[in-house]
Amino acid sequence: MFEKIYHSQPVEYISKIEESVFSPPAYYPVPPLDNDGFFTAGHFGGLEAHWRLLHVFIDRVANVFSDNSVRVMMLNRIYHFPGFGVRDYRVDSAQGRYLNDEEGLDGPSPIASAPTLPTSQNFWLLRITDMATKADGQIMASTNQGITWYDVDTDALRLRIDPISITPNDFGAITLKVWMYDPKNQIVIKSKGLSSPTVAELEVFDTSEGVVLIKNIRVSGIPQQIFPEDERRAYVYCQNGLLNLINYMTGEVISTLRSPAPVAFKPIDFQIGHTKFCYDRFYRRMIGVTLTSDDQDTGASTVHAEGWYPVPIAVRIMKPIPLIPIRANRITPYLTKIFGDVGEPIGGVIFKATPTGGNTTIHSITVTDDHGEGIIHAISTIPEEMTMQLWTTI
Amino acid sequence: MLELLAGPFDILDLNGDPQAVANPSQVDCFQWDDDLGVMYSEGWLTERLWIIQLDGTATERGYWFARFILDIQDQKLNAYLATNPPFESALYDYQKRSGTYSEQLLSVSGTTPLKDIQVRCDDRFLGVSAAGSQIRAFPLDIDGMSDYITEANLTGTSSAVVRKPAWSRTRNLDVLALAYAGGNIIYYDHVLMQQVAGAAYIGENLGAWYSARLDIWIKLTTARQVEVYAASPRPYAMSNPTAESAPLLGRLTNFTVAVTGDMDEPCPGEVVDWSLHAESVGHLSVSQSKTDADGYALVGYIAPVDSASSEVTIIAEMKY
Repeated sequence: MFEKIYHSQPVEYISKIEESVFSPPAYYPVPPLDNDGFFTAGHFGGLEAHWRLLHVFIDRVANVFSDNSVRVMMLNRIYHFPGFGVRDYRVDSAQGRYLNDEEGLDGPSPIASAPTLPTSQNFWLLRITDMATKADGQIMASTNQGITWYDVDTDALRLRIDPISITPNDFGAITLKVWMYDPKNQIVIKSKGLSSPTVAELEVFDTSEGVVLIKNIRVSGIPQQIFPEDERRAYVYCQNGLLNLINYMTGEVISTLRSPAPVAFKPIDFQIGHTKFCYDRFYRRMIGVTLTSDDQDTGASTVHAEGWYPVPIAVRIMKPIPLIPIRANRITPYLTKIFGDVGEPIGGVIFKATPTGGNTTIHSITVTDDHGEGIIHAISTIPEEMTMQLWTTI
Repeated sequence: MLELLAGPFDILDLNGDPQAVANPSQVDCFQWDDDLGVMYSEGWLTERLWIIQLDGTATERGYWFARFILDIQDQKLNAYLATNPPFESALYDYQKRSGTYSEQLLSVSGTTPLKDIQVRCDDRFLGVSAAGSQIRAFPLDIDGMSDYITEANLTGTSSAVVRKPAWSRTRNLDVLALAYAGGNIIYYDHVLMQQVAGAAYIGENLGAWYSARLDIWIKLTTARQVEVYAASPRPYAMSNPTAESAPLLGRLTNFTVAVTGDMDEPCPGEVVDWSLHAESVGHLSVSQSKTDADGYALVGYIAPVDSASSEVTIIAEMKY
């Protein structure tokens, strides 16, 4: 379990628009009106509603509250042709304030389609279908026009013209679903398999001279998302809720922790509760953005962003276990352990013990060690009987 | 029988829900580790790794279904290898903290060729026969179940047909403990390739492991609960004080008592209170002494130089 240190305001979509400015095509079904006569957005059938949570990343662009912002890329359904658009929502990294309403920003703006693609594909039908973060923090995206990936200019919100020279076929895959690209080391990490992952294993490829599989890394669950942490390290978020930190150059699984969100895993990116993560290398924390339920008053679609320090938090203190038989009037050591939600030890914790029966006296208590274990020395006047209560403050 | 310290504890997750601890035919899908707790690899189809604490609290840690092999090549690390049940055809380095396989060390063709190996030493793998009464040595480049030699014969064992014994490190780097499903515990010196002195009984189990760090035994009961046992048996009987030699006036004579468990095992470290009957003459050297490794407690009786009475009654008592 991680220590939560950041929570944003709910990021809302366009919630209301006056009827007088609304002029949809004739064939478009009229959305419902609220009690005040305004058209309301809703999850389905409204003016605009979220469709898919595409991606989340950290942008080092200063705003009125902090030096960085959390950018949430959403693919929305929109009432006017072509019926969809990618929205770019920004949340302040320090206070969690929704930035799109602030002075100086124009509100949620659709990401433009690529101005010219090196094919004859129709401009208006282009739709971003997938996004990912490279190891250097830059963003890439693929579209519904094919499996090609493009760099994204996050300032201008446009796809770059030249595609990234990464083709799924080169890696024995039909599509790249769960993957990450390290351009500096020319490494591609992807989930094993043709498309969507089905096994708890990653493949690491060296693309410096052709495409060569250099290692497999087994992780703690079927991977759902890979996102960069720092140079040569990445987090792997698994479908069973476990999170691995891996060094993809050495193949080492450095740590296993339970991901801080969501409570119940939602695999599909339009499901309420679906979460995407990124690592904020500026504040050294993890950011998760979750699709949340529609606003009850306005019907607007919402998401929220949360941040955590990836340090384990204690969730349980073990019942004290005597390490030798309890004999009357003999000092007996009792073992306890403080651990997190994957059983990881929590060292350096000061805990307290109180006898709860009249026959027990506590003599001494230690601080928990690297194993998360502490020892309580106690004496009982009654053989084989001791009662005590342990607690600590986290 | 070893003395119960704590338990039985139900195996519950952090929400208090009982975990369906499968009833594996192989005890090796559980393994106590001094750094983590009980590692429980749950089922081929379920594929979850749990860490179970001494009080039965279980936390999910990983994904892969593994049968653990004790790796004593590097004694400093509590390291393990893992096979790939139910196929038992490949051997991997096992990263216990992340609950993942890493490098593949061995791949063998055939039908479950690795199913009998349980320990990796510097120069061989070890396992036991189906009857549990023999140690089998397999070469490190094993090519099948029948690729072994019988290294040693054991006594005081029980059948390994339903479940193979659980192996544990001990505080002696050369000695491993084997705990059988029937409850027998024996010790094996893998350097001398022979059974060594010392035996214990822990009761029927799905697995029992010795913690060298804590000097306790951890048992998974047949009711799928966790129990913690002392490394010494619970006292059951104490012999009458016995003189090492005939007492003489003015001389010190040692008297001993033997404290044993219900299987006649010696009970070390138990406190015996000594006293003389009210009408006895002479003195005792101490009022209390502890039993030694063989279960004997000793007191010296000092006879008077000159006494009209020869009635001496030495009383030994234990309170626990």
